[in-house]
Amino acid sequence: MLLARLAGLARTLREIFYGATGYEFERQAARLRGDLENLFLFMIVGDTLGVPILPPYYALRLVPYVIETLPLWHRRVLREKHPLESEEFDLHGV
Amino acid sequence: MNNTLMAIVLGAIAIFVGYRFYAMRIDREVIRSNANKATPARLYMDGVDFVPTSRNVLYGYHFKSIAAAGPIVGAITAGALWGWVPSIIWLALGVMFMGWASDYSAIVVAVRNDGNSLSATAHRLIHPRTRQILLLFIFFYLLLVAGAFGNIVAGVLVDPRVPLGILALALLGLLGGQMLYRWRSDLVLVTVITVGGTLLAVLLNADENGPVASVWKGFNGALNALAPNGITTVLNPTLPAAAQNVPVTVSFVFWLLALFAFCYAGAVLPIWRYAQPVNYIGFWLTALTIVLGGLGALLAFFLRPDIAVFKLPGYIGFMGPQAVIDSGALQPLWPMLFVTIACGAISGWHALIGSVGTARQIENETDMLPVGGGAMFSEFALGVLSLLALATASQPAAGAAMFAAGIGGFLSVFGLPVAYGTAIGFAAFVVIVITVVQLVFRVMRVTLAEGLGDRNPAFRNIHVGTLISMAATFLLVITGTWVYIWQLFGAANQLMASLSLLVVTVWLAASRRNPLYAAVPTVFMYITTMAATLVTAYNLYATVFARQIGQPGREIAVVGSLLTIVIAIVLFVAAIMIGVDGVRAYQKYRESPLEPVAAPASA
Repeated sequence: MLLARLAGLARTLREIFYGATGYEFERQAARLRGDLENLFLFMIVGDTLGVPILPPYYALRLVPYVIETLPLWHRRVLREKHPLESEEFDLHGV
Repeated sequence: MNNTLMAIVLGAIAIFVGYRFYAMRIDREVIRSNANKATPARLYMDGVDFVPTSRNVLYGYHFKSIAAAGPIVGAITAGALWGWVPSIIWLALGVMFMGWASDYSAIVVAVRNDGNSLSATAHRLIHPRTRQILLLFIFFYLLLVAGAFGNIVAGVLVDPRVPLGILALALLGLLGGQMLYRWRSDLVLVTVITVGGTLLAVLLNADENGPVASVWKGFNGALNALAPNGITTVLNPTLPAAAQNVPVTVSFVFWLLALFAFCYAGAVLPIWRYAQPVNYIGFWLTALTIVLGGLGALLAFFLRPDIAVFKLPGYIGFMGPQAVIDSGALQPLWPMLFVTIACGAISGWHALIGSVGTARQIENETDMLPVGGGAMFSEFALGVLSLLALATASQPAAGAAMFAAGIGGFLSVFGLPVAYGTAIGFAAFVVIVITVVQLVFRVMRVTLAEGLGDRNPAFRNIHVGTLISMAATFLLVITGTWVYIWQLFGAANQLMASLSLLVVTVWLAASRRNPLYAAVPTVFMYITTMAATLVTAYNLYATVFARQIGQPGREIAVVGSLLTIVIAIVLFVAAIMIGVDGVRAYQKYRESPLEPVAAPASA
């Protein structure tokens, strides 16, 4: 019982430690990937947002590969953005 | 009774009582957080912004995001002005009744509103112009932050024990970004190299009579020889009358510009290249100092009672030290203590800016309190540690030096020589402040672009925006009286806290919840900070502007004090507008709420 509690405490401290150290880099990497994904999806299916780039023939051939992420991508791009949002994840307190 | 153990025990009691009996009750009975209700992170899981995350990881991340120099500098400054007793009382009462509520509620509002920020909610619930006013508010607030912290850092960089560590921080930060993102190195290896290297540089520079410090002394001396009487003078009314005209030396200006160069890189380079790895290294230095310093403060009572006992007076006076009273400045305990302590008790910055990223990663609603409220209680602990460092320092000195000396004392409990401990304390202080300043310039640039970029595309240029922000900050630092800039910053920060609590209050009213737990802090902080803004404006006028206008060679100080008074007035007027709109919105939603409160679904 005591060992289980200590193990639980150790796991909690490890997670807190990770949150304060490496997690920030995981978030940043996810954002960088998200930016690249934005660019890629704009090129392929940008005409779903009124920004036609790739001719429809090629775009249609690639749609099956991206169809599942389309609603989430639309939401991400069209969501109202806070002006300082891009700085928030890495922004530190004052 | 006046020792570190007593203060730590009091702090622990404040955290336990505030969290267990008040915060948890509000979470259960007013907000009614429900683990079965889907949060935006679970609804919109996109792997980029909305990512459900374990509460422990999020707590560490959120605490690291909010903990910075505010609770350190604020506690030190307040302790020196009014004594440690009123400072620790406000730290405890402030966080127990207001600080946790502000941070926690900002996360709640974001989670319950699709992950949107407080300013977006204010736009919807209060008035569309609230967002624009907040942007204006934020820019001037950031200017004050940059001015206050820039002034401190430049002053500390003049100390010959400090520069090598900061130089190492800059270079190793660049290396860290390159290693992590381009070379895909292991994080542990990057940490050992960058943090270890910075620590080594700090220790190499620790001895004020050593070779490295001697080089810096010679360098500063050569700079100051260019203008032995300084470039200009600033008035510091908190000092004795004979020493109030403080020369701005060439070395101070040099290190201020060096700081700007450091921050320029942080503001214009991609965040992963420089700012983020620098913050990462800085976090390690600060965390080691805080953890070991805290342990040392606790153990000092048992192992080194001479260190644990307080040397600072418990209560200096309602109007502050005699030197301040003699200067003609007003520093009444109310309202000035509350804004001087700043982030250790309550902070609007956390609520307005820092909560949205966290809110979009909340996995369960029941995580909101331990993450948001818990992180704020932890920040309170940081404020208490800073106060202890000040209170136990054996020799009176300027704020940063007393903090470093106090930390040096705590680290000496583990056998580390005081000189090295003090150098680590200095380095941790500078690092924690410098990482704030570099990000502040970044955000100022973005705010300028957002606010003025449509009217003039030049403001969208990252270099133009950064240089304008730095020029304004330079003017403020060279001309301003630091304590007034700090108090105006504190007033702006706490005013933002009251405004964010106002948004929360309106939301609570709109959703048929009891708004009292947010409304009472809103009113208290609003009145206190508005009064503090007026007092600071008066102090600037009476002790700086009125005394120096017409005097030859004082034009810069006069212009500077006038600009700072204008900033105070702008903040005051902006706060009145938001306050009026907020009260109207509150009355409207009290009469006709937007939505019924849904009974929580059974588990």
